[in-house]
Amino acid sequence: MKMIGGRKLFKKLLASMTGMIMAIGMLAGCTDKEPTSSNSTSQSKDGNQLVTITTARTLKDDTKFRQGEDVNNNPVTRWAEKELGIKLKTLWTAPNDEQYYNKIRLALSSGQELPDVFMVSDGLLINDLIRSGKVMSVDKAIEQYASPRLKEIFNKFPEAFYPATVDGNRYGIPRFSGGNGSDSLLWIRKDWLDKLGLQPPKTIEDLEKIMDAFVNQDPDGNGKKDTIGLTLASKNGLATWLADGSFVFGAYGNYVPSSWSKGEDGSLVYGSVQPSIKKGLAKLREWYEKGYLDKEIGILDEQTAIKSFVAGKSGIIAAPPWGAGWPIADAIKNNPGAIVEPYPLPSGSDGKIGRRGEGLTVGMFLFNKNFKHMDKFFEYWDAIYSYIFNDSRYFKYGLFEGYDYVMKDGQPVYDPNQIPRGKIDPGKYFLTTDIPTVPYMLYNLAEELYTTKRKPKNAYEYTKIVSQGEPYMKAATIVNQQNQYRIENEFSGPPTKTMQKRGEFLTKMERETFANIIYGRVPLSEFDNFVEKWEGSGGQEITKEVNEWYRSVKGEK
Amino acid sequence: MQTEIDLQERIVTVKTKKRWNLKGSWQLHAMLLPAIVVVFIFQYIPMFGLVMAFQDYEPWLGFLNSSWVGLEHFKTMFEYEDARQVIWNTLVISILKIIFNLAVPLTFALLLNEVYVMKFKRTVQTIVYLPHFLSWVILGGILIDMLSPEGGIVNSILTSLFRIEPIFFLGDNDWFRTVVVVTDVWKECGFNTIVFLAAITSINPALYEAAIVDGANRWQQTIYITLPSMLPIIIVVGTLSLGNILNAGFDQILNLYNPLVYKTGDIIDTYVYRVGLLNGDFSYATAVGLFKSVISFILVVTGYRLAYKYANYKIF
Repeated sequence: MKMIGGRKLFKKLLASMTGMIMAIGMLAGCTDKEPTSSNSTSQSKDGNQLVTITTARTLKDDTKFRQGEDVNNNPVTRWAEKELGIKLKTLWTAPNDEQYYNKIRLALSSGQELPDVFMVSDGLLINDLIRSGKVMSVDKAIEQYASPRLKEIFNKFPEAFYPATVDGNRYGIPRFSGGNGSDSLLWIRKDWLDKLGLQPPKTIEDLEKIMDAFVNQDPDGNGKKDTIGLTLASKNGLATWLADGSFVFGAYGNYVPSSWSKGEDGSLVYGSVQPSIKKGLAKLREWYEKGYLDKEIGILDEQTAIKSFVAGKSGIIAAPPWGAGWPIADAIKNNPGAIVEPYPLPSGSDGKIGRRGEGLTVGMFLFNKNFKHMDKFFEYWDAIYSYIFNDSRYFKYGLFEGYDYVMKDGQPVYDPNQIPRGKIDPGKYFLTTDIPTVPYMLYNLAEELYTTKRKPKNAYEYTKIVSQGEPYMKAATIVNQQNQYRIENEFSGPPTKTMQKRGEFLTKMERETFANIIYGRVPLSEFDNFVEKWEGSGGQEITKEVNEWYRSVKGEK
Repeated sequence: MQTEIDLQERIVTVKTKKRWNLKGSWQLHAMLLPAIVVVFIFQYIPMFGLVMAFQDYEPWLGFLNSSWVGLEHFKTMFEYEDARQVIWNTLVISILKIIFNLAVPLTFALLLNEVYVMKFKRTVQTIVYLPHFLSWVILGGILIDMLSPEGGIVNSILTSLFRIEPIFFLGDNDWFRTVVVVTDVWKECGFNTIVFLAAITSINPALYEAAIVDGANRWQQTIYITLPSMLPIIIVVGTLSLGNILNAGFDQILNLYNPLVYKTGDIIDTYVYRVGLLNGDFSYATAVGLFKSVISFILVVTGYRLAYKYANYKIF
């Protein structure tokens, strides 16, 4: 009897469990099916035609919302709906680029409908999308709908379109970078210089003297020989966005490692295999041996390399102007009495200076081939650009009151403490995922503001430049004044055929050889073997393919 | 007579089995269903993607329209020395890991078994098990700090004890594999220790009593009773790890390696990651992955056969 009772109970339990599992399954099936009504138009309340533009985007941690608001309901969407008659609809979001690209890739290979507008930075994915025929050329739309000032910017930076140019047709609108925003300059411990009675460096030789003093004359005064001269990152290449070593190579020639720049005949050549790189490596090798560099430089990436500087164990780091906030500010906070000043990059023996130049674009905006409202898109685009051009009827004092500013006695106040519920950057809600930029514009303005000491004219100048503090403005000015020394990576296309096949091997060989040369584990002449091997194992083909690409995007046959 | 009864018995069992299948247990099978569906969707359907290895795959063309290239990608794999090097690295690292991940926990379990203070035994067991729950992303950061030649704790101890030059563990080709194996054993040995300890406790105490009567000391008891009784579980653990022979630990290596130790530390998985995800050569990466799976499969089957043949033990 007892057994049977137990069995019944068991059956009941089973039935309810199966039911539950099914219910969960059905729920999961229901949630994310929403009809994607691209290009649909609907009536807004006051009778105007409301155009829907769908998109997808990454939603990173630094994008904050007020309570009750989200990516489809925030000041930007409300503003676009009311002022422009555009209903912006974000179909889905991803927390990081990797997942975002995976979703786009999945949509591409499974034949799903793509959003109307979306941004992609990955060169290969851009190329795949264009070749799939699912995104459309924007040449005509730019001609017809872009406002004169947008056209002017587009014409000024034609190479910004190269990542999405195929067979002479442009398929994307660039999301510009700051142009020189992440170019580096030297940040040096001024208190160490003063203590040891040294002048800031003008040349690489000066720099060597300073590094020697920083290593051997105990600048931090703790009686131990535990300081290094220069903080460099090398794990991801020696020319990079933080703890950058590109200036060492730039002092000896017009090339930086891992970057395609114009050779003497005007065609693109690969930086890492140029003879001047050998001179730069020889210097780094010498500096490593003398203890100027971190002993662990080979395993340090950008984030781990800065530790030595932040801990007050290193005297010099090459970092962009925004480095003033991080990591420089951390270094000052951690080391009482520390003074860190920005200085121009030093020159080589024959007066040469060079630095890694940031690319012009952060990504490309692509458009679903069925998207019909390019006119509305450009209207929106021009409207958000009006914020930085200081002629906005929408953003006179700032972006959105109560978010990035408040009005007090008829004057805008930007102080975060005065804004109820704190400051939130609504620029992150734009399609551009940040306040739009025009290459070089920010540092040009910074230089103007710093040298003329004039008052900021608008919210953009105030929040993006003046409120960032004096060191930032000074650094931006220095970087801007050294713009002629930029060595930009001119190859912005998808990986070529041979790159896909052999690129991994070549990169690995390059990193390994450079690291071993710096560590003195192989003779310097190993560089020549590397160049030879690079040419022979696919480098020549890659160079050919890169130049074919370069000619095709420039419209030459 | 005898055979007839035997036959009858057999028929009965067959019948009951059938009935069991049809009636009594459908609910149990229903419970299994979601798991089977999930496994089918996420483990079996993606296997069709393996056709990529024989194609020149282009994402917008899909599996159906990409052109076929036969064994091209497999040829490439053996043609270039870099691929051969990573296969070799993988084998060396994973074989070392398999050996030490068996030997160390086994020794440890035997030693721990001799501890009579329960509190101490439990505490040690827990402490040893703890690193298993840490991810390599975190451990990678910690290890880089600990093994640093500039003020890392390991080098500080070594230099003060033996007065030797600091060793750059993570940047030295002679040391990197050792570091990988030792840290992996340190992280994972707690898990196998618990498995082995469980096996020891399940040994029939009567065997020990008999041995003691025969005058065996503790060492002899271990050699002649504990170890033979544990053999099946050792074989199971060993065979299961054989399947991982080409998984030398992607998370671990990715978080610890660097250009200085590519020569000894680069393994198949990190190679595939760079080729496939960073360079976008999906077909080639799939080919390498498929190669890896086939080898693992063969090894698992062999291990299973050997275990059955020599230890008369069926794992599945």
